[in-house]
Amino acid sequence: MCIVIRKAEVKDCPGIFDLITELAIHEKHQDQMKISLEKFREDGFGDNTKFQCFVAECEENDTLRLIGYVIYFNTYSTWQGKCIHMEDIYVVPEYRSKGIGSKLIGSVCKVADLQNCGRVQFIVRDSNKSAMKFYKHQGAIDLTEVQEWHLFRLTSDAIEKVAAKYD
Amino acid sequence: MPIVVREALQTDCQGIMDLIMELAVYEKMEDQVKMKIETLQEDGFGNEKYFKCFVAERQENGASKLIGYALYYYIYSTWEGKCIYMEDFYVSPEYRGKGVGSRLMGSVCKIAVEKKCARVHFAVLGWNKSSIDYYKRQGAIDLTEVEDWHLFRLTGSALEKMAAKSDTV
Repeated sequence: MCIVIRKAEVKDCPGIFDLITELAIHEKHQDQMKISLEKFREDGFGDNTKFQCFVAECEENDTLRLIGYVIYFNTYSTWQGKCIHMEDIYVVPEYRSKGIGSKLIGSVCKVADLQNCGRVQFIVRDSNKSAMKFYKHQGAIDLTEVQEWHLFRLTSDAIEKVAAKYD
Repeated sequence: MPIVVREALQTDCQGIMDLIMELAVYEKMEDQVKMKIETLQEDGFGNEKYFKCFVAERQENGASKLIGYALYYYIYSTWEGKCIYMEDFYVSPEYRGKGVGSRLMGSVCKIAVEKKCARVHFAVLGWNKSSIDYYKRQGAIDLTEVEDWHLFRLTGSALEKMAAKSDTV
């Protein structure tokens, strides 16, 4: 069993999309998945890419299978400059505790280093105690706990109402 | 006292820098500001643009001054596609209560509608009750309160230690 971490290619899209769906089910939010495989392929590998991705690939019995992925993109801090946000990180349950998650996150951090991005940020649910423990063990800071940052969202209806106030 | 809300120009960067510092002081984190004006100019108006910005400008007696701004960029949700993150949103205290904030935030939301972004996200400090009340009145959801999401950051030596674990081919 050989596991390789590499940059995602367009041919990986169906496999990554399956893992995204698995993660949504794991977080009990599968009803919130509105994106199609075609849109995902266009957004990640088309003319104007909106995200970057590393995948973990396992070779078993002459078959290749994607067993983990991490999706990230650049963000911007008016205090520090270019940063990275890690949107999704997921390893299928049967391949956990083998250091694959750390290698996927490490790949993103290596990109941050190369691009002089001072921060890699991501969100975790407080109920996900094992993930919280893992990230804190890696030296990540829980900004919600330490500095009281809250994440807010406007969704479609509210966005349209606020947009109507624009002159 | 006319106040205009418009897209930022490169020449606005000094005014935006002043407001960035005002906001940092308001959030009690001014020691964290490492931004230089040359970096802001390059990152916002250079070959590769990392953010976009609307500014609120006040004209009086032939002079103009920036009195508010909303700085944002595109992010991605693997469930919904392209979204917007509003990194900074600020109006100088003496110009609040005049609808300037709503016009700035409205500008960002208009872009979200035009670009078919399903979400606009932003972060607010838990002790900032007046801002939290304002955002909730606009229909925003506190995802930390309602869905328990916590914002995490890797930086400095922790970021470098993680980077060392990479063995990407």
